[in-house]
Amino acid sequence: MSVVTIYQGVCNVDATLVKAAKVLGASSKDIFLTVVIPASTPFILVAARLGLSSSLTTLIAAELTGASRGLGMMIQKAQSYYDRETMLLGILVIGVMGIIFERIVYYLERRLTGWQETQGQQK
Amino acid sequence: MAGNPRTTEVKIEQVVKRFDTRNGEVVALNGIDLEIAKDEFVCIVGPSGCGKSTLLNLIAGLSKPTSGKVYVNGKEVEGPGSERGVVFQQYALFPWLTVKKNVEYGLKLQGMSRKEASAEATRYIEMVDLKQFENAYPKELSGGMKQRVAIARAYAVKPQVLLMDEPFGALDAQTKTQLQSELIHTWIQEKRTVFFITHDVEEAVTLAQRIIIMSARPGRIREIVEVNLPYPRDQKTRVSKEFMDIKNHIWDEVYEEYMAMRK
Repeated sequence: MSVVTIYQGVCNVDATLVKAAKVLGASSKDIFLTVVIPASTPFILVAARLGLSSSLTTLIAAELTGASRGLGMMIQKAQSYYDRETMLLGILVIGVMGIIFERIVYYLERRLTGWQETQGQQK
Repeated sequence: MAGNPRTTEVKIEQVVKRFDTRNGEVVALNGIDLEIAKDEFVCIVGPSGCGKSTLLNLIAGLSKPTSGKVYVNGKEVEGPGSERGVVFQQYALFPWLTVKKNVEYGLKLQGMSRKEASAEATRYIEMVDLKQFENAYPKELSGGMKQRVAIARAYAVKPQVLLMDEPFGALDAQTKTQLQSELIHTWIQEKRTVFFITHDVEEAVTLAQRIIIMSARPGRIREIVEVNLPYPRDQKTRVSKEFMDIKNHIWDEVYEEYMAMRK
């Protein structure tokens, strides 16, 4: 899914910007580094955000079913011993991890894509 | 061109450009021959779809002619290069770079050190009167300001030929007039060969030394008009008889082409 999102982002790079870079003397490598990458950064970050939640979910689910270590496994083991405290701890840690990752991506989005024109601003 | 012999900067020889579209082949340019002298200011007018932008893209090296040759400074054009700067109607500023970084962009590609590029960029930003917006992002600027940045960016890399594709087409009348006189001012300060596309006849007569009227598809040169009015051409020039005569003549020609195209 992330690959599709980023691919779409690269496809959407404004052709005029690529032309503008070319006529200023940019080589293909320059265009990739200085036009395609910054122009697709918003899409890359959206992909990262979507990818993050699904990968975290998948990881925990995998650990719950059959891993020898990890948070999912800890919860699973605690469940079989009726150890509620450990189970809750595991659940809370997963939640906090999710929030921290989300915050990191949000911070990156603000830092790296603040240049985007959003609705309500003058063109 | 005022009689004195000048070197040819841009030479277009028997250029034909065809495009394959879904509706078959379209001949955009059909046998264009044109010479533009060094430091000359040329405007191209013609109905939309007559191949003006196609011709500009060929000179810029952004596309190749189907047949015929384009020479700039005696060398055949084989691709884009920094000796030919382009200003686009859609400004084409990099939205993730500040005004200053946009102007520095081409300078850094030329291998200039950070310090030199910064000094050069500042000089050109001052030239277009945007010093206080140096660190602004394009989204914070008005259309006229964006186009001034684009002009500074094109000028900064010191191209011999400046190609302008309807640069003021999207601006309001007052901003347009202002930018026209600024462009002429800049051009007088630092002479360049300018190839300027417009559909605004008055703009063409205000700016150009020579106006090339293109005919409707397939694009050909219909007529070349010399404009021997002194610079700068201000509001007073615009209402003078000579100005009006040239303007009316060109307008008639362009309108005829427009009607021919609608048939």
